[in-house]
Amino acid sequence: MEDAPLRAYLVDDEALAIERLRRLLTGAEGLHIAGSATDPAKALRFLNSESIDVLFLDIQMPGMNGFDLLARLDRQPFVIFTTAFDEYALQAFEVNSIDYLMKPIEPEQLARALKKLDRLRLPAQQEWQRSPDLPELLSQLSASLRGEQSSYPRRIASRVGERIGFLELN
Amino acid sequence: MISASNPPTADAPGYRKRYAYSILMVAGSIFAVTLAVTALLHSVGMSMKWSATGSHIIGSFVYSTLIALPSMFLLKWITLRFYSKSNRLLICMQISALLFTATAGCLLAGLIFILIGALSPAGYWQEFRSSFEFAVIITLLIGMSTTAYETMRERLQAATLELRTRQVEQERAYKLLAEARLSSLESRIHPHFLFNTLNSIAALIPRDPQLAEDTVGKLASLLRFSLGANHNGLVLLSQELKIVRDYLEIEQTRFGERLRYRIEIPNALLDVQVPPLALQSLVENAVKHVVSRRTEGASIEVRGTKENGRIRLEVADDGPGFSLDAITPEHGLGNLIARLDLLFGDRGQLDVTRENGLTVVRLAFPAEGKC
Repeated sequence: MEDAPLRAYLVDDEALAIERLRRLLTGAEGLHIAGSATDPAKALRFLNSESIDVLFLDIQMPGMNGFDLLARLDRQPFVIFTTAFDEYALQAFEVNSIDYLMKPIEPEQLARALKKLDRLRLPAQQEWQRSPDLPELLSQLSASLRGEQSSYPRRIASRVGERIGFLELN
Repeated sequence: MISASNPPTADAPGYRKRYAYSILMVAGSIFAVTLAVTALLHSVGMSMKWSATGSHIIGSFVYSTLIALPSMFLLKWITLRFYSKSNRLLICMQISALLFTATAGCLLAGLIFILIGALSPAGYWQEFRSSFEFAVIITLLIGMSTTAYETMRERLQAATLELRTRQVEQERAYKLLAEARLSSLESRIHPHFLFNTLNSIAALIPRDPQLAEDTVGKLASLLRFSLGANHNGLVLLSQELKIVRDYLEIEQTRFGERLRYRIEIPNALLDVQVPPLALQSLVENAVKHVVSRRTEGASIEVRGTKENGRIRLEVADDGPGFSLDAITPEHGLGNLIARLDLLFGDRGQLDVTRENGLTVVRLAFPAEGKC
């Protein structure tokens, strides 16, 4: 890895999950853990005031789920979802997630995710990260997670090997 | 002529049709029997003129119809009306009814014969005397044997029905218990619960190996109890409480300060019999719907009392509360309600109330166990 280390932030409502992830990330090169939160509201305040490159995000959380949180962010970081159960994998790939890790996270899976992150960081700001309709897509997703009526996503992510491409649906 | 253990309802559809059908049957068979008897008399050489034979058939038909039909209706009415009375009383009433219909039938038949000119008014009492004895014997014989036959058939049917009902109920009970086990299995081995617990254990191993080891033990005992095949009936409250504690301790490891709980069950209650996974379902419900959904978590209180032979188990939480109306049968509490109903009938209750700002889910059932 080159340049300044990536700034990572961890969000999970279970403190032990954060503790373990922190430990797993300790050895990772070029990655600096800027902070963590068990309360999604606290995470939101932090993320909207500080610049973060990669967000490790749990999905099922009290008050605000992972998709809710993303929808309220001013700027979209790279996201690596961490979840206990494969229920939202498809939705997770509809947003700009790099990977979807299952808890308890295996070090090999985490290494794979970090490798992808390393590849995607250049160019630093992807076109889709500035896309104005992303927040809208995210709010649709979080609405669908709450069981409300949702419309079709405007784009889908397709993964070929370790590459992710986005397909516009219009 | 039905002795019913359960009185059939007169307004049931098809009842009137069956009535008409039985009248036709009775009239038809009377006619057939009369015909057969006359043919028999002829064949054994009792010479009679054919005109006499004809009037004999008509005469017998009039007698039989006048006696048999009212007997049938009267017996049916008596049995339905007084089915709850003792058997002996019922038989006395049936015999009196038959005697009455035989007498009335003979008297009426005589009058009819006079009316159609087959009998002179002077011969009325002689005709009555000659036919009465025979009519009484035949009526009692046929009436009582039919009643006995019907009674036996009815009892057999009732017994078969009861056996079948019992089988169905037993099957239902097994099914519900299997469902409870499955749903408890699903929630304890609920992927979220299981994988998050494994994740907690993985996190604890380097920092607090002792706590990690304890948590593995609790998880194992929880899984074992949920998989357990040996609680078909009731379990001791002490056993159930161990599972409740294991579960709460695991969840507390996960949720930390968000889960606060207190268990206040008097020692005297530890030996009472309770439905397995009942208290557990209540606690789990509070954790799933209040603790994990709120950043501030919840305080849970588990309480138990025994009063007037009834056991009351309560789980209180400081969450927003819910209504039992919203509970579907697939819900963990829905299954619990159905199981309580099967185990205790009207004497088992589950209710949800708001008390001092707390949601209290209360389980009440008789202390002596199965009724």
